Amino acid sequence: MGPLIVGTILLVAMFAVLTVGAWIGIGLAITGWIGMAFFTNSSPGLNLSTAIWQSVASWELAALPLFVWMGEILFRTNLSAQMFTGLAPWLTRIPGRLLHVNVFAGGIFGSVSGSSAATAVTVGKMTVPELKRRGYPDHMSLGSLAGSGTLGILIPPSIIMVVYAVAADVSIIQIFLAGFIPGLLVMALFSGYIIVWSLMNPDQIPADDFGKMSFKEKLIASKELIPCMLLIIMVIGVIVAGYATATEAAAFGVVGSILLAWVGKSLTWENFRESLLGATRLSAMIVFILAGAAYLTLAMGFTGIPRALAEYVAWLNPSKYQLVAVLTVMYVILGTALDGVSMIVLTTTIVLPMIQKVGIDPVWFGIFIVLLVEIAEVTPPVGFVLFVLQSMSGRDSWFVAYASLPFFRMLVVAIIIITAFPDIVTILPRLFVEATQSQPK
Amino acid sequence: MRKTLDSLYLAAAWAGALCVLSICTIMMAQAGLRLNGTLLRGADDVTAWLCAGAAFLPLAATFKRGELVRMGIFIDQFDDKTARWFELIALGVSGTFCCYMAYWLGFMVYESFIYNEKGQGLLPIPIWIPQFPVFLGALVLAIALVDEFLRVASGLVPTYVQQVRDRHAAGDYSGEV
Repeated sequence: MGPLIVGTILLVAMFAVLTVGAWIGIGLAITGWIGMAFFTNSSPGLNLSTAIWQSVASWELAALPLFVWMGEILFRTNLSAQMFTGLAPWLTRIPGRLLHVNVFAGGIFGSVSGSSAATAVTVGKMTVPELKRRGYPDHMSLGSLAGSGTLGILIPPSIIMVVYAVAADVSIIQIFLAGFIPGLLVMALFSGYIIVWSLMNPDQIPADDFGKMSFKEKLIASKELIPCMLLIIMVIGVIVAGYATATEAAAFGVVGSILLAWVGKSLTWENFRESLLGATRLSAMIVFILAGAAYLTLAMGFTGIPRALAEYVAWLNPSKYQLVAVLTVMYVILGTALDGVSMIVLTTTIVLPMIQKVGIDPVWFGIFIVLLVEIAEVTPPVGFVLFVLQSMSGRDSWFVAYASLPFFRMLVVAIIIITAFPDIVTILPRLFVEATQSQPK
Repeated sequence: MRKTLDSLYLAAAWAGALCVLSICTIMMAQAGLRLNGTLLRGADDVTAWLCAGAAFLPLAATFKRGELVRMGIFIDQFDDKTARWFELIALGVSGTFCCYMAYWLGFMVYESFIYNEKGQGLLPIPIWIPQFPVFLGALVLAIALVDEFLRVASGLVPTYVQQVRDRHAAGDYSGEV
């Protein structure tokens, strides 16, 4: 039997197992077992334990629980309460005024929280009532919230990026660096859309009610926001400067956020315990999917499916743009059924050999895939951010989906821009590699 | 019995949490000592092993809380009565596989033990010691799946469904990525 037929059988089997509701990690491992037991001569049981052990006992993976924990601690501080009062005074002059709070709060909070749904809820809890009270249109406040809730996974440090880096075996640092400019680009696109919309509908934006504040007053209003931003910059900074590895920097981040919580008087034993347990559970969930996928990957390696697919793609000889277009469609479809982590882990081993055949940089591809995960989160029927906003605002899912449509389009524009100008993504990591090579340590 | 099992899951989750705490401590120590010019021998190996424990020990608690993700697009559409049959299939298939997985992980630990295999890095300690928590986590997860299968079979709403509903009703979405 040819590898492509075996691949089809496994795909059907995986779909069946996942559809009845098997947990993703287990479902992937079962598919791997089927492949191993029926289409190879090696022992499925022995390989299962080896694949699990080798994938979870990983030094690089240790960064994951720490980054998650850092987010969980900051998540429980007063930071979220400061989001509105801290950001609003800076943004009253821009057309669209306080709607931009959503974008910036999503960017800042998302970079520490790893979870888009939690970001949307935390930011929304503060901004939605405030914006409504001031008379901002509902569809703009919910739409911008949906869009910027997803920003967190694009702005480093990002948990999804760590997952991709481990799955695709590329450097965490390079992926983090690659995310910076696209993250700013998406924020600019979101804010840009709000500005254009506000200029076209000036009567729908309420007047500035913050009054004049001096620069010093503004600084005082955002006094708890600034240390948090400094902490994030420091965490990225130590990695880039080469003082510490990604895992060590994550540990710095944890200690730094505990200090911030302590200074802000929100460090209680309960917060500490809940953040630690919450982070442990969340990262265990992610690593379990990685372990299941590692076994499936091993099984597929034995059956030769990824190589056959890559050769098939090479034989079709598509241009980069054609392949990117096909993959975009594939991921948008997958994203309607799967969450971001599963989607990345599941596809990386199959897709990576293909994209390398046509000469696409795996670091660029990482950012591309993260953008697609963002899109998936605001696409019905299972966009989680949509679901969260729906229950928060009391509006039906169509209203929320419709409200987030313009921001969905902005994400598509971002994909088009990074495809047309891949340097936006690759320039920072390339400069970093050049800098580290020119001065060997 | 209910209480014993629930404390088992919680204890395993705490063991995993301690692994995370230890990773953090070791990383800080390593970075601190590097400034001093000294190297922490074998720290990378220990971190990798702790990472393995941190990944598998909390799985049962994660599963019970409904934080282990699955593809809910179909199963969430049904009312509780119809969903029950799907839940039983999902739990049956997953439970069987997890027992199988726990068996083979146990076999790996056993083999490492009798052949006295050592760690390959800077720390030549018997490798079965760091492998054991992975087996233990898989075993507790298998127990939790069987436990849940029996609960659903007796007509109860699955714990992992109920817990998610309770959390969402309280406005807590922190369990979702």
